[in-house]
Amino acid sequence: MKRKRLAALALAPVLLLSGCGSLGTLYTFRSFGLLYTHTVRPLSRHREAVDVAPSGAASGNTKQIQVQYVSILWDDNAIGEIAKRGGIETIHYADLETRSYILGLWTRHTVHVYGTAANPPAASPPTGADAGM
Amino acid sequence: MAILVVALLSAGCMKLYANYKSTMDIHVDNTFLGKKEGRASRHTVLWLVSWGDAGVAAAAKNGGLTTMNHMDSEIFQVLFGLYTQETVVVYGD
Repeated sequence: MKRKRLAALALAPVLLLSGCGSLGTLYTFRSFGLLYTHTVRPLSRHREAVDVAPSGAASGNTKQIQVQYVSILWDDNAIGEIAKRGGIETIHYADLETRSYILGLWTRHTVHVYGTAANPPAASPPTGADAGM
Repeated sequence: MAILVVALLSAGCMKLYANYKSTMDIHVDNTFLGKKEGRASRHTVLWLVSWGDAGVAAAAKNGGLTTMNHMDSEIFQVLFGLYTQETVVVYGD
């Protein structure tokens, strides 16, 4: 009994402090509402100056149903796949949106990818009035 | 009591009190910071409810940035996560 208590005491700090880093804290900081979560956080670490008003944006998500240790997960939120599907040629950055309810019973992770579209939308054609019609 | 323990453990990173800034972008070789700054936050209360858009897009929009050069983060937490606010700070022009 005493050994179990000691083991629990030794394990507690590991569990409590796991994920705490000094660099990029927001990536390891796992704030999560047990009943309700709807947050967006950065998914990409920034390396160089990027345009934050890109011409292309696309998103994809995974859904998960979990009851204790049993879970079902489907769909995809891979950045490359989303960019390809959304016609993004150059990826600038990505955000992660999380929706979760009641201890993670239902969770949806959506990745939003922003970048330069392969074929930026052409300028809208002149209206009749503009064209003098 | 059991719920509280689960909440504390699942919160992952808890402090009695925390109010600090940390870097997100460690690539700072000749980084020109820029003149503008944008922020976006998310919040967690009582380990139960968490909300807010702290994405890069939201931070840039809030600061009116068109070019982003660097990113930092800010954490404010009291009583092991009774209240937590996480903020993304982006710098640029």
